Amino acid sequence: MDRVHREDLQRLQAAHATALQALHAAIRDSTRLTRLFTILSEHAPLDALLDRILATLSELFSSDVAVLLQRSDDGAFVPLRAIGLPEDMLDRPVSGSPDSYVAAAVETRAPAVAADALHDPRVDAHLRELDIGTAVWLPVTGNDGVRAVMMLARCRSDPYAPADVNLLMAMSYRIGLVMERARAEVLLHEAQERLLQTEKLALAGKLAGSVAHEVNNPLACVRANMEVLQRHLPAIQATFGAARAAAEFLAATPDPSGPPLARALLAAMEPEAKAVDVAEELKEIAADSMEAVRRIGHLVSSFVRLSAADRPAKPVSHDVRVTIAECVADLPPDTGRPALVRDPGDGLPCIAWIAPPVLRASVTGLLRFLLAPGLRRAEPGRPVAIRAERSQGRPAIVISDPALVLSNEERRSIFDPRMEVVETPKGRTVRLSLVATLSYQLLRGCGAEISTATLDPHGLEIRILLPAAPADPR
Amino acid sequence: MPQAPLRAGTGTSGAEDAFEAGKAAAGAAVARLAGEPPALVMVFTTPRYDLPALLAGVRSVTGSALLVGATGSGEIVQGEYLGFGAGVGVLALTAGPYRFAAASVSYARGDLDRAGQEIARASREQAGKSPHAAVMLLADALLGDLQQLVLGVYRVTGPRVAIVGGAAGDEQRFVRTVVFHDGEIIEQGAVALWIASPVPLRVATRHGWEPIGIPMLITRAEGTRIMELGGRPAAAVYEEQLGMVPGELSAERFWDTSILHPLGLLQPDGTTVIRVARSRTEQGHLAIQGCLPPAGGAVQVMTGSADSLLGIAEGVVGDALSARPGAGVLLAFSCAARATIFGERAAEEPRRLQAAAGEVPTFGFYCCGEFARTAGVLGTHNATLTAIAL
Repeated sequence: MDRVHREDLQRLQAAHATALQALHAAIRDSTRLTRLFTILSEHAPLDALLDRILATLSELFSSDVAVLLQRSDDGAFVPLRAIGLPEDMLDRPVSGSPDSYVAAAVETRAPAVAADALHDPRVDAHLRELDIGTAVWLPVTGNDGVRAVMMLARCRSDPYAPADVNLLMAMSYRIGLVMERARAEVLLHEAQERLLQTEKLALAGKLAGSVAHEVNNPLACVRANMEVLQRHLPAIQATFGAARAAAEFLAATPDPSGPPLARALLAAMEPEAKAVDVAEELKEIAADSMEAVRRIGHLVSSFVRLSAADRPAKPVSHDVRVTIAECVADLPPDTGRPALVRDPGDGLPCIAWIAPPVLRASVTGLLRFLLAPGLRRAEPGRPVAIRAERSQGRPAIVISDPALVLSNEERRSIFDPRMEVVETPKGRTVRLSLVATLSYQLLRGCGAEISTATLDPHGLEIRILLPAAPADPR
Repeated sequence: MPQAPLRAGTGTSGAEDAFEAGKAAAGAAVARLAGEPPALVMVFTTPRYDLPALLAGVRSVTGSALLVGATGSGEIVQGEYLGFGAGVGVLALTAGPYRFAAASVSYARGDLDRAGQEIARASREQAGKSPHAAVMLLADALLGDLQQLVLGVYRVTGPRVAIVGGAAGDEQRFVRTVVFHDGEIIEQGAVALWIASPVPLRVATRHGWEPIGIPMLITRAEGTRIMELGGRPAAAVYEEQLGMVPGELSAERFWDTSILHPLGLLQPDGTTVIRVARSRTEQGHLAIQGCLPPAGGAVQVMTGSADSLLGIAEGVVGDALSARPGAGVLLAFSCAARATIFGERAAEEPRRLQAAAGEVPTFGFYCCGEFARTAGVLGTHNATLTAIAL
């Protein structure tokens, strides 16, 4: 009986220990996730955010060194932010040579682990100087490929468990998204600044218009008065001159009966005689004033033109097919243009959309962004297609990518998987990546819409519905 | 070429007059250096003294030798325990195989990361290059999140440089704690001692606390306060873990209980880093001593007895001395909360430390937060014993 109890007790103790171990592992992992996500959700400048992320990863994964490496122009990788890297090593690049762990992480888009980093020639010598025993390199991916590489290292021979590496890989992906979001925010901020300047100019234009209106009438009145003055000034001057000559003549006459009358007349005419000099000055003043009036008139005209320029421009119609041609011509040379099929749509009537220059640039930029990844990895016989069409009564640009399947990996390349995947009658729809948010916001602000749907049997169709031009027959 | 061994001498004084106390303790310490001049002087003292006069008294003996130190909540001097208000302890060291240099910063509140970088950088530059090194960090305990200070130091040092030390104390009043650099009293600041060494130096640390209750997630934290545990007011959850009804633990009684039941911050390797809640706020938050409790982290309420906490002394000394064979001195930083828990047995820890160290003199103080980075970036502890052998 005792033996049975003892065995039961041992079993219970073993189960208790196992449960406790599992509990600790679960807590450890949930702590890791909650702490990192807490930081990722904070709104802070990118540098500060990366710094906190690295410090937290260092703590959560008992890593003495945590470095985010960014590719430099010469192919090497330089520390962007670091924790635990002594400051005299912050400027030292890490080799990106083909046999390096950094290159392996970039190439395979998978973690690269050095189990014995201290004696591994593939690890840079200056990192080995830190006595690191084990290290892991993780690609930090964004929509346009590997954005950076994160390295975590321990100064002891305590290898990173595979589960830890998987968790780190997921976190490095989130870090890539944060970096991308920060970049998009910077772009958005810059666009907002530009918009603000434009608004200020518009306001200045309106102000100039109202000032011009207020100034114009009094200015015309002054101009007319000055013209009258200038026209009569010679006659006035001649009259005053004659009066002065008469007075001087009378003053010089020796007639005894004359002087009292002459003196009286002279006294009466004295102001007018002085006015002859004044009239001379008045002539110059009038000339100067007319010049000033002329200049003010110029200024007012400029104000009027400026205010007129800020009036909303008339919508400009643009053929969607031309927009596509512009975009294709503008594709980067390395994007595999032979893999692109462009339906010229020659038989179609003009499909016009409202396309002021800013919108046109946004659309072509967005198309480039959407086309480039597909073209870079297009397979022979499965080209990417772009065409113009009328959809839901509106001009539309449609990209069909038969190689694009909504697996997680593909979504990482083009779409932000944090966004919801929505089932629609035509297929699944995902929201657009953050990188294209800016262009998308501009387009949406003008009534454009973007959606995606899966192709049968494989692939993805991306549809941009554009604002129809009023002249476009529906 | 063989280098001269490190010589260490300690001295204490409980004299009433600050200058005389400093002079007497320093005199006793220097006398044990066999005529060699001190290259480094450490001063740990009760805050009751006129501190400038105390340092003047020390330097009247040690001259311009580099001096670092702090006010404490009890001192550890070669097996002797100086309790609250007891006096001053001085350690005098010859250079031996080391080069010492120090840098300090005042009024550093608000940017401790930068302050840590500055003092680490400046002290390193003065000490010069060496194959190995350690930084002994002393800081005002009331500066805020002291982990930021450690992080700043770590940014400069990297993992090969050991970081050890403690936050100054004021005998548990939490009003004014200061550190010393040469003859200066450093207000609201920190001092970093750079120890350039030809051999590796390692930090040893243990605490002796055991978890009780269940692990809980910190769901809201700000500054040095834990506001919520598991989505509920932190103080109420803390009471619940201790089997109390909400509100039972009044603000007045809080410290007496929390000192016996700190929080253990769960680490990835299954160990815990200790955080002591100093007080509870009217809003039901827990104010942590000197370290930011990270939101998203998991904590467990801990418990310990005088026996379990004292029981780690030998292990810490053993770890420290085995990392530095032939050491000339062992520097120890224990927590004021531990001494409070020891109560009448407070003198036992210094005695056990010295007994375990044998011939190697031990010296240190009771801090309000201990510094010891061993893995990762986290290097601040509460209610912990940490040591380094030189």
